[in-house]
Amino acid sequence: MATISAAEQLHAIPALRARKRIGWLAAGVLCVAGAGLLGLFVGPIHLAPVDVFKKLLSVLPFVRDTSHLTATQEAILMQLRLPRVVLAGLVGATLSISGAAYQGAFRNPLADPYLLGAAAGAGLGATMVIVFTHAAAASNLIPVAAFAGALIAVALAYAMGRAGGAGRTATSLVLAGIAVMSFLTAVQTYMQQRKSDTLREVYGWILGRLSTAGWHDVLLILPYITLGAAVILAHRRLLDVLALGDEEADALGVNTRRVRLIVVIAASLSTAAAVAVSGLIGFVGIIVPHIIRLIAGTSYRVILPLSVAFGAAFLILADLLGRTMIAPAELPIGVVTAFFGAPFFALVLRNSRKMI
Amino acid sequence: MSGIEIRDVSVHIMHAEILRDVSLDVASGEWLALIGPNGAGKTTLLRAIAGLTPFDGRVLLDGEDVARMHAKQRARTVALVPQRPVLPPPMTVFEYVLLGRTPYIRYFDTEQAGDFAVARSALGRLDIASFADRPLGSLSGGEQQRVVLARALAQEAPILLLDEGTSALDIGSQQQVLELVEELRLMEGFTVVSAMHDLTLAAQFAHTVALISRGRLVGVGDPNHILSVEAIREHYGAEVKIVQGEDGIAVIPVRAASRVQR
Repeated sequence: MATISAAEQLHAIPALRARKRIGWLAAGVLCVAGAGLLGLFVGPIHLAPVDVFKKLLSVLPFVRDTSHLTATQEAILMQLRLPRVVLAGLVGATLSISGAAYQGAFRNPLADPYLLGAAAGAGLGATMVIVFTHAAAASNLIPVAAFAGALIAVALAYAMGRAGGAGRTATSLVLAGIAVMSFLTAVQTYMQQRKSDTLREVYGWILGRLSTAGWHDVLLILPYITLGAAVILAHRRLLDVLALGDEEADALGVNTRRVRLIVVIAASLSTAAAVAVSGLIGFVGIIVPHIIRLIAGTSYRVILPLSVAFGAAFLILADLLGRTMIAPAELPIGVVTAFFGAPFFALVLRNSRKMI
Repeated sequence: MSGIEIRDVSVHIMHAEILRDVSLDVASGEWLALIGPNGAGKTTLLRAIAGLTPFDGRVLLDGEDVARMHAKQRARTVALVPQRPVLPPPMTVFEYVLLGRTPYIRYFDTEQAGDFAVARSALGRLDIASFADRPLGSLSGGEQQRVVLARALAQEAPILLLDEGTSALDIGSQQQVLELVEELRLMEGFTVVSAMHDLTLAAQFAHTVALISRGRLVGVGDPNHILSVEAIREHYGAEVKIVQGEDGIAVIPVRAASRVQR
């Protein structure tokens, strides 16, 4: 009798796992939708939720616009709030899934999307534009320079990590990333100090901001982050195999170096794109995946898709707080993510008996 | 069917010679025990057989050169149970055993019904179906060993390599694991190569023992012939006496004090 029930239980495991995953995913989608709507409703100009709904629905084909928004209100909704919410969601999703991907590829719980110097490279690129060009040209050039800087930094770290004899190990890559990061940060600090009149602007960029967001930024990064996320998601099962370490993954027929290279390139590309438009928003990429590990499980089949959903929701809410708490001024979003994220993480950690 | 031919295998790691000119044959369905002191090169030889370390010479698995095999094909031919397997504490037993199906799943694909069935049968065979949902971190040493074996079984490879997998287990668990391997060998026709420290157990379970010392193969054959007081003194630096037991010979350590008295 006992053996029959054990066998039945065993048969039920794959279906149970799938059902649990779908349940979590549904929860994630609800969170994003909730956070997104909240982000659209709340702001200095009051917009009636009913009208917001109607206006949003009218974007769909064959749905007539029956909302009672004035032209100004409509512009606020469609040209200011909506792109900002969408951008916050995309950046949050990208930073979270990239962080989770780095953590899996390096088997290191402390890895974050900026591990291989992407942040320092982007910071240097943005600083150079702010310091050397006129304000008018800067706003268009900053994303490009930050994107290029981030990619160059990661490529440098990768080349250095491989050149260093033991190029096979993940550790040498992480160390190379730290070296590149320190060097580029030093150069960036030097530049920013030499022209102190731009200090405030540089600092504002480094703390992260979504305030100048518009559809332009969304369209700019969409191809890169979609591609990056698709590649990372496609590797979800292989990242689980990598959890066994290189030796055992190799013995199971997985080319660990190739998998790591592809995942790192995808995560770096999408991180660079996110950083290019948002500045350096910290904390999201490391904390969101860990919260998911604590509440929903440690398989990357769960962590990666949920990182997209909860990362998006988290950053939309953080942005909402950042622009309302001391309105009409804005708190830098990087400050908000850390200020509210850290205590929240402590709470989850305290109430969880699971191991990370 | 799936024998192993090892021809003049030498391994260098960072200019140090770990193995030199080892040649050895393991017949299909045979159990060969690699014995030798710590650092002799047993683990390295297992890694060479599994194609996990570069080496000079040739290793043929069922007539095929392991160095030329595609990684997945290799993983379908030989399963390795490492000395200290990585067992991520939060991963469940079922998830872990399912990873053994990796060589059968295409790059971007996930497990199919057939893979779940193989994993289930592996759990059943090793009698661990009842804790399929438990996290690896909650298992005892003996249970962990069974789980690692179940993963190797899910790999459905005809050659099983065990790297001193039993050294950290108590005598009961150690025996149970080896009996399980023997059972699988008889039922599935596995070829087994195990690196072992316990010479008595090696003599009891293996058909052939290969004694490796300082990177060289110094003796291979029937346990009764290879395990001599002199050979163990020379290569292990140990004083033992060898007793004929019911299931083969037993190697018993002798204390220095009792030697003086005699």
